[in-house]
Amino acid sequence: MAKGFLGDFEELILTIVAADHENAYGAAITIEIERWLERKVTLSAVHVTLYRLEDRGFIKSKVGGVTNERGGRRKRIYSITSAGVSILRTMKETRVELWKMVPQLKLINS
Amino acid sequence: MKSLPIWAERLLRAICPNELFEQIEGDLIEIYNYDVKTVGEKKARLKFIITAVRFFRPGIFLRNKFSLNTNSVDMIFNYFKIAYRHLVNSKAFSLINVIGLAVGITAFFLIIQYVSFELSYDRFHTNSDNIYRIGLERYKKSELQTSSSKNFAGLKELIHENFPEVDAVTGFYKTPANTGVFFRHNGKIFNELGGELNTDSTFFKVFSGMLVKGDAATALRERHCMVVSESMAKKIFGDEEPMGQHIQMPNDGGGASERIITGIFKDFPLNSHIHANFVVPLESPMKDGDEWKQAFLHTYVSLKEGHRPEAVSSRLNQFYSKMAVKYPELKETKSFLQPLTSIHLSSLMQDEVEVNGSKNLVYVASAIALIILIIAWINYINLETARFATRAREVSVRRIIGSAKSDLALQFLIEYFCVFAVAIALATLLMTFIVPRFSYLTGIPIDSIQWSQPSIWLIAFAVLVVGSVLVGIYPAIFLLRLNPVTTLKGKFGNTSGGRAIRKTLIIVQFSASLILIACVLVMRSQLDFMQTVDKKIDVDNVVTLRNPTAYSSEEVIEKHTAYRTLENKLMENTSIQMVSSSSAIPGTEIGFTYVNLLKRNVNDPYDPTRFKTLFVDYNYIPFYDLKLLAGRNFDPPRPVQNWIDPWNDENWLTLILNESAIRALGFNSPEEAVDKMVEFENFEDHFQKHRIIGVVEDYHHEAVKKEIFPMIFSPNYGSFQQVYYSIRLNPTSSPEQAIGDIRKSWTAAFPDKPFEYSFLNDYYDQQFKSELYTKRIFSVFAGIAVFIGCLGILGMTLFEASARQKEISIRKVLGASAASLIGLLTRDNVRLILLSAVISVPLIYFIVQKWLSSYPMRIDVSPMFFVIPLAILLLLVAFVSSFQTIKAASTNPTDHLKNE
Repeated sequence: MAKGFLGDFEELILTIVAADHENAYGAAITIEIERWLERKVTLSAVHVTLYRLEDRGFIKSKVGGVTNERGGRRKRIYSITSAGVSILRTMKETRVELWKMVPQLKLINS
Repeated sequence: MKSLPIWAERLLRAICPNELFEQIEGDLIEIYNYDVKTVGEKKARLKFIITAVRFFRPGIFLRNKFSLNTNSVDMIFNYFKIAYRHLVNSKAFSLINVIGLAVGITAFFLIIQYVSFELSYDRFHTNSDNIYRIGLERYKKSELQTSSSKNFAGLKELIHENFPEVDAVTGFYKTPANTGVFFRHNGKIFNELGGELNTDSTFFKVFSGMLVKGDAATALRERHCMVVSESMAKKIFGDEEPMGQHIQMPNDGGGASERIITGIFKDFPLNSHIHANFVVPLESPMKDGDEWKQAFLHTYVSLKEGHRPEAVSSRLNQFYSKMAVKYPELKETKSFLQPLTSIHLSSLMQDEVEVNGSKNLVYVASAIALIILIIAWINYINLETARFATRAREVSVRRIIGSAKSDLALQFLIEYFCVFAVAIALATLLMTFIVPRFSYLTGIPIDSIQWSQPSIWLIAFAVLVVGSVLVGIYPAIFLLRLNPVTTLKGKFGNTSGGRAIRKTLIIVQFSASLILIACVLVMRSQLDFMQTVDKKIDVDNVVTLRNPTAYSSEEVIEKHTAYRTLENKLMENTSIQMVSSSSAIPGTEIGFTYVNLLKRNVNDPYDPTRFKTLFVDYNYIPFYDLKLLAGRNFDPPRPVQNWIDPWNDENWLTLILNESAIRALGFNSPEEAVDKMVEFENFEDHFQKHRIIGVVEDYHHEAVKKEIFPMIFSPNYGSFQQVYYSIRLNPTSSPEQAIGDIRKSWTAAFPDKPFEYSFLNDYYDQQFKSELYTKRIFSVFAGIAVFIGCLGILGMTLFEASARQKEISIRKVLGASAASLIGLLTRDNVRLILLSAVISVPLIYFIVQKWLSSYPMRIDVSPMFFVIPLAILLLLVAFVSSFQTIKAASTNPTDHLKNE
């Protein structure tokens, strides 16, 4: 896999981590995906993706607070790193560039 | 909140990396609680389980590996260190364990090597699973009389024409292995023993992988064709191309005098039930009903895939019963297909190509292998558990400090692993020394010890690994069951259970040793008995020669003259007492063995009794000191002008029979049989009246271990049946002198023939070859088993003596004598041995009975077979334990008590 490349699911997770500042952890992300995107996702897939992103340096984690719903277990809270922000931005820009190369769409739509 | 399934949590804990587990679990619970609110508890539970299980994915559990827990690595190193210290600390016990295991493993693998060799017979053929031999059973009033590995010559054609499911069928007969093949090539004379295989081109179709050079279809088509083995081709032609070479066969009876090599076949490996270096064409096929007269061809078929042998044999028997109307020899016979690979071990038939192996022997050997291994394992278990008193404290302290049971188990396994690794290393070393001597023990040359039977080796390794792991785990479990608190208080909890197990195991060891010693004893006595039994025949001081012109095409008169010259020359020497000629000598199989050979009246119905005919001269009976029960010996020879002479002179038509033969003919006593006329078939289909002139006592001609068969002695004056010359040496002259004299006489009679001789008693004793090997294998491995057992006893007494040192010292202080103390220490062992004796006596009796019943001449089961092993074991154990007990009993008690 090329270094700068992110899969679809990885990009999604990374974006959510960036959006949920200081409150991104496995369960929250899973519930969010299910609720907002109406997409079926398993907790383990989210976890694996989080670990992989962390391995690649796009996000970092710290062990955080305890809430009652968690039966006293601590969360691992993820936040995006500057490398993560930069790759998100690159990907977004690439996409915009690509969009610009699609004039036909306008023609058909108009 | 209802509690969540605990197993799901356990699974998670098992698969998740430690540092991630808490957060994963938290997330799971959070989602569960969220789900309870949104979709209800039941669904939420189900989803919880599914989600938890879905964590079982490579992305999660592969993460574990990258985080090696350095602490456990350190612990494992520590375990090795402790194991090393522990082993070195108790050198004697470690040594006993290691040596016992090493010797046990070595013996185990040596025996497995032998077993795998025996089981590999005839599996080298490319299609060995589809090849069958067709045996022949003869019945008399529906009762099985004989079963033979040879079948009728007509069978080949019958199968070829009527059995489409048979791929190829072949038949052959083999001249006996002790007959030579004489020929000349480039002026060099060869006399190769081993016999030749007479067959046709189908042989290499059934055994399709054998032919290396030449064409299977044409290699044996012409009478002058000859196919030789690779090694023989190398011997005769050296590096020259063997194909198309000519060899001259001066004495080839009836065949072509010059032969052309038309093919080369792979040497038959040792694990083949057929061996031959020469394959030549079968003489012209029999016709006009002759092919259903005598069963003399070993017949083999290869079946096409998917056909069952039973179906073929049942159809074959239908043919036989239909044809029996025309051919009386087929009445009350049955053919059966016998798998090629079962011939070596499971065939107990007459007329085998070679002496076969014994399935029982293979079973017994495997059993011994296992017994030896078990005895070695028992030693380990016993010594380890016995010493637990000393280790229980260590284990308890470890557990109180916080060692998990699994960690302790790991520690013990590592200790065991160390012992085992050293034992394996030692066993490997031992193997390299012993394997070269192994061939002496089993008769298998080293280079043929092969890994040909992967399944056997797999089983062997599995037994070794599984057994070893179980043996390693047992002491660990035993120790971990102890309650650390009571142990530290000084009580070892309930160890009486452990002692009971230990005693049981020792009884098993003792019983196995007793049985093995008894078996060796019985085997030795039986073999001695067979070797010294009154075989009613004198084979000592006899040298035998093979007549080089036997079966040759030379005129009978010339042969006769050559023999006369030899006899006269021989008798000039004072070193020679007597000379006799015969068609077979004691210890050789009598080839002239047929059914329906002798009857009292020509019109008597067909009778399946097999008679063996020995053609002898008038010296034979006095020469071998056979006892005439009634009647007289043959007349001295008269000059012969023509080979047909004897058969035209009524005075020559005489026979001498043995006791079994007259019984088979229905005479009640030797006297009754003498001077009676009987019909004897001396040519194909031609019965002639012969007079019984004498009856000799039964004697063991072929082998003592075989039944005595009905025998006919027919005079061979000047006939072609002078195959062997027996020469009785003067016992007062030296054998070297006598052999020199014989050589001189030989050169005078047969100037151009190589001189070869053998001593008859050596030759006769070859029949005991398999028994000799059995005896050696048994003796050595029983010895090893007993040795390992004794090692164990040594270890136990060593331990007992040191453990009870304090008790002994106190007893001594109080006035016990050394003798009573020794008694105290050995009493336990003696009691165990006696108990083992009680257990093993019925077993020994059963085994010995079963084994002896396979011999027609056998010893009786005597009480000695039970008493002697017991005495040997008692003595050995007393000897082994005496050093320690005497030492313990005679030391100064204050040495051991002053430290208290």
